[in-house]
Amino acid sequence: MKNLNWIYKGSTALAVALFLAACAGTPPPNEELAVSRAAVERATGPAAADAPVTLAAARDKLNRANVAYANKDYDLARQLAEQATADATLAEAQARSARSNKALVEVREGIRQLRDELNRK
Amino acid sequence: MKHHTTLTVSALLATLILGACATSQPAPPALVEARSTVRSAELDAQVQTQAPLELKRASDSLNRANMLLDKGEPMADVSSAAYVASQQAKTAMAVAQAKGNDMTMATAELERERVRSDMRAAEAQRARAQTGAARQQTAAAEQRAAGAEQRAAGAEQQAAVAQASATDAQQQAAELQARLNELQAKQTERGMLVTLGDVLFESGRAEVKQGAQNSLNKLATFLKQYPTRHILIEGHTDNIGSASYNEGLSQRRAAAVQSALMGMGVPANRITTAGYGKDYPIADNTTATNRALNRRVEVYIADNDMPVKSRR
Repeated sequence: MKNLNWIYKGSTALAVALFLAACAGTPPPNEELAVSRAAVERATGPAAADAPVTLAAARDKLNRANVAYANKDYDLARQLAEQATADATLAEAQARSARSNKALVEVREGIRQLRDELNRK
Repeated sequence: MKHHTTLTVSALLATLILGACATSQPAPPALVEARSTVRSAELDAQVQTQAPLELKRASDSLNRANMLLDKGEPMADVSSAAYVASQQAKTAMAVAQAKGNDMTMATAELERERVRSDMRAAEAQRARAQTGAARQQTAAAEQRAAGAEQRAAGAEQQAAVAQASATDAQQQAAELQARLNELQAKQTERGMLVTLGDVLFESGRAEVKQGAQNSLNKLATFLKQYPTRHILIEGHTDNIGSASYNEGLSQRRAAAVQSALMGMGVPANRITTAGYGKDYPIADNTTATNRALNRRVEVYIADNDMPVKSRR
């Protein structure tokens, strides 16, 4: 009975060890964080004015990723870093789209005014 | 036997633990959304052509999320991968939109150039039209100026002619006055009066004396110079003798002057004669001198081309 109890305890410890090795054995996401920092930095210039909401989300996630990294919660740090990268890239594309759209509207307005002038004379 | 039991329990536990990780779970909402978002990006022809790289990243991320779900990886991991896939799909769509805008922009800029060139053409056309109109106005103004000049010249000419004719008329008037002065003519309301005195005739006779020819000559010359003037010759006497005698005498004397002038070339149709006897004395007949003044022939020269009005 006592022997059986020891075996039971030993098995449980082994199972927990196995569980940790299989599901939580995550290396620190150094590369993901570096990529994320670069993406946020690249998006900061153009997107600050034209896609502020998405850019702010990217920054927030990057900050939270850093905090998680410091807490050694590497899974969360990697997830947040990946999401921040995706957000930053989207912010950059949104900014580019908004700028080109604005430019297009301006050119069309210019054409309209020119046409008006042409027809008036 | 005991050892066997321990192994069995351990295997059971390991299986249970692995089962917890690998059990197929329902897709989290983030993955459901990612599937939909990536799918619409994949179906968009513009995204396919303009953002193939970005689209591929989204598809890969979605595959990874699905795989993580299949492997029974933690939900947080699946959801995170799904979120990344969604954001990448949106990125692909934004990039495609931006590139589409860029292409439309190129077309719009071409169009703007075309409109600008149209405007420049219209402007040039307008400028030409204005120049043409200005030229036309100038030509019209020049024409008007030339007309005005011509009229001015004409007016000057007319003025000169008028001046000349005025000068002529003045000259003629002056000459006429000179002639009349020569004849010792007096202005009366019936015309210029030239009195031929008693000295022209012998007493009681009607023949013009030889010595009076000079006076008549001057008169004839004047009448030839002014061939439209008519004259009226009136004979007058003093109060010596009967009225009928004097009247007859005055008529004969007037007629004598007429025939003398006709002899000098003055046409008869310009001469009218009348004899008034003693009816119109110019002085009272009380003295011989006055009576001599009353014996006279008066020649009236018309002021114009009409015959001289007679006394009665």
